[in-house]
Parts: sequence; C-alpha cells; structure tokens
Amino acid sequence: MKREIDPPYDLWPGIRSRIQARRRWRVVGSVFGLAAAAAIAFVIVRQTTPRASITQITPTVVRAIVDSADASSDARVEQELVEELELRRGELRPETEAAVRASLQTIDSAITELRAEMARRPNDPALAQLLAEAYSHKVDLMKLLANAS
Amino acid sequence: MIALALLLILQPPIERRQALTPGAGVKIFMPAGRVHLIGWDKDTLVVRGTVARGSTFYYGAYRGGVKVSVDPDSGSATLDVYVPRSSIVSIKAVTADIDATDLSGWFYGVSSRIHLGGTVRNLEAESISGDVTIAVTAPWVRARTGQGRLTLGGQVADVSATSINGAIDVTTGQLERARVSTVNGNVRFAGDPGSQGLVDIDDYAGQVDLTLGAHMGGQCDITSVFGEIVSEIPSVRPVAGTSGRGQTLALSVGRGTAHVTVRTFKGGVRVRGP
Repeated sequence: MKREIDPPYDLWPGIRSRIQARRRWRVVGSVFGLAAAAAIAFVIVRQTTPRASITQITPTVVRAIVDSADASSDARVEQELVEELELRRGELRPETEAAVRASLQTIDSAITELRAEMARRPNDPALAQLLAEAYSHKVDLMKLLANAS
Repeated sequence: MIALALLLILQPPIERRQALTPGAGVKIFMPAGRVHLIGWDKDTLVVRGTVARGSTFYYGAYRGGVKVSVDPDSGSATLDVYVPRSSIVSIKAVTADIDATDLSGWFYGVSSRIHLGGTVRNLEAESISGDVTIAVTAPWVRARTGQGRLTLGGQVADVSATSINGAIDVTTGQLERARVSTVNGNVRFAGDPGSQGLVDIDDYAGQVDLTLGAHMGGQCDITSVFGEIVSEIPSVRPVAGTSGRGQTLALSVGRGTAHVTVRTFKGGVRVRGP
C-alpha cells in the first residue's frame, strides 16, 4: 500500500459545484421564507383592518323634492309632445317615432298608477317624489324629441 | 378588387384644417357612419375621413368656430376629427356612432351609440334609443337615454343619469351629487359618495341593485312602495312599510354625512355591502 496518494489533478470543479448547490438551496429557502412572511402579514393586516360597520337605523323621512307646478304643467307637456310628434311625423324615422311613442306610453302608465296610489296615500313622500320624477321624464322626452330632427 | 369596390363606393378622402381660438365652438352634424373625435393640445382642428357616395361634405371655419356637416339627412361618412381640448363640441347624429376622448360639450344621437372618455370640463350626452357609455374625469355629467343602456364610470363630482326604459349602470367614484332616475330601466349603482356625497335613485318599475361604496360614510334609506327589498348585509333587514305594503330599510355605514336614497314603486331593491 502506498504511503502517499497524489491529489486529483483539479479539485476546484467539485468544490465549486458543491458551493453552488448550497447557494441554490439558500436562495430557494429565502424566497419561500419571504413569501410565507408576506402571506402571514397580509392575513394579519386583513383581519385587523377595521371594516366600516353597517348598522340598522330607524328610517328618516325620505327627502322629497316635489314641485307643485309639475302636476299642473303635465297636461301642457303632454299636449306639446303629441303636437311635436305629429309635426315631425314626416321627418322622424319610423323606428324613432315608435321609440318615442313607446316611451311616452311607459311614462303615462307610470303616472296613472302613481296618481292612483297618491290618492290613497297623499302624504307619502316617496310616492310624491316618484311622481315628480315621472313628470320630469316626460319633459326630458320632449327635449330629446325636439333635438331629433 | 376590394380597393376598386371601395373607390366606387367612397369619394376621395377629405382633409381640412383650421387654427382656433381657445374656447371655440365646434359644431358637427353627421347623420350616419362613424365619427371619432380626439381632443389634443394643438390649437388646430383637423378633419380627416371619407364621405359615402351620394353624401355631401360641408365645411365652414374661422378662428372662432367650425361647422362640419354631412348632407342629406341620410348622408354617411367616416370622420376622424382632432379638436383643441379647450373647444366646446356640439355634435348631432342620427345613427352615426360617436366616439370622443378629452372633449367637453354636447353629444346627441337618435339611435347612435355614444362612447365618451378622457378628462373633460363638462359633458351632456343624449340618445333616444342608442347606448351611451361614459368613463370620464369631470366636474359634471348629464346623460339621458330613452330606450338605450346608460353606463357611467370614471370620476365625476356631479352626475345626472336618466332613462325611460334603458338600464343604468353607475360605477362613478368621488361623487358629490348623483341623480339616477328611470321609469322602467334596471339600475345597478356601485358608485362611491365618500363621506359627504348625496345620491338619489328613483326607479318606478325596474330592479335596483345597490352596492355601498367602499369609502362611504353616512346613511342609506331605501323605500319600495310595492316591491321587495333584499339585504345581503347580515346586520340589516328590511321592515314592512308604514301602510302595511312595500318595504323600507335604513342603515348607517361608517362615519360621515353621505346620504343615499333609493325609491321604487314596484321594482325590487337588492343592497349589498362594499
């Protein structure tokens, strides 16, 4: 048996591969560690951030913005709308005229129902507001029609 | 062959330019086709595009304003119009689709689809039967449709959105004042009034879907004369109306003076938390 053994010609490639393998594990470990820490922090922040509390309260009187002139002017607006439609019958495309007439019918049936309910509950502010809105839709429709030609 | 066919159908391309004073008016009448308006920082208006055969392109301009018109009433064109941002646009269409970015003014179509975006000073958009889509940053916006769908997003302080049968979809943030009103259209409101805004939603027969804003602080009152209110918030439940019919629901959320009011006649209301 030899008393001495010559070292391999080049030790460095083996040493380098072992060092690099260790480094790779360290990097992977660090990334996993950071990700886990971030996830834990996110959960904690989410749980501790106060969310606005929502509680039931007694309904306040619903604000109603009703103009008493609305009802009295509705008949006039209706008349003007119908006249405008007749006047523009030749100018409007059939589908436009049909859309306007359908819209007018929708508003009128809403007004009829709202008025009937208002007769039963004259002091209901929500009904009053919805009725005022219906009148205002008719005025809007007239403006839309006026611009259509 | 396609190029030859296009040459037969279309007239030669047009191009016009005019330097404008700040705040100049830009008036456009465009029955059919498509118009794309782009607000830019230059002081010159540029119109480019093509006009369909049988249609006539009219153009009048001076430093204080420009008028563009395509005649007759059935005339059609495809136009790209570059407009100084400070100008006030007034455009009227029948079926032509309107697309505008960074421009203030009035946009009207009979059955046009209107799409508006960018940052503007104020906007008014109307269509009888076409859809209107607005996603702008602006102090105020007025939008109105008859049958068409109305979609509003972006950041707007003062909003008015109304329709007759068209659905209304509002996701606007930084609201100080909002009025949403329709006769039969469904409403989806997910706008945010913050801690001071006032929101009124009135719907005669459509369904209302209300999502409370993430930054809302204040109160919410919901009344349905005949409809049903559904709360997806576990801590609040609707109660029967005072007359024994319909339902009401009132809730307080966070801190603030914002107030959201919903009224329906026979349509239902669904409310959910942020």
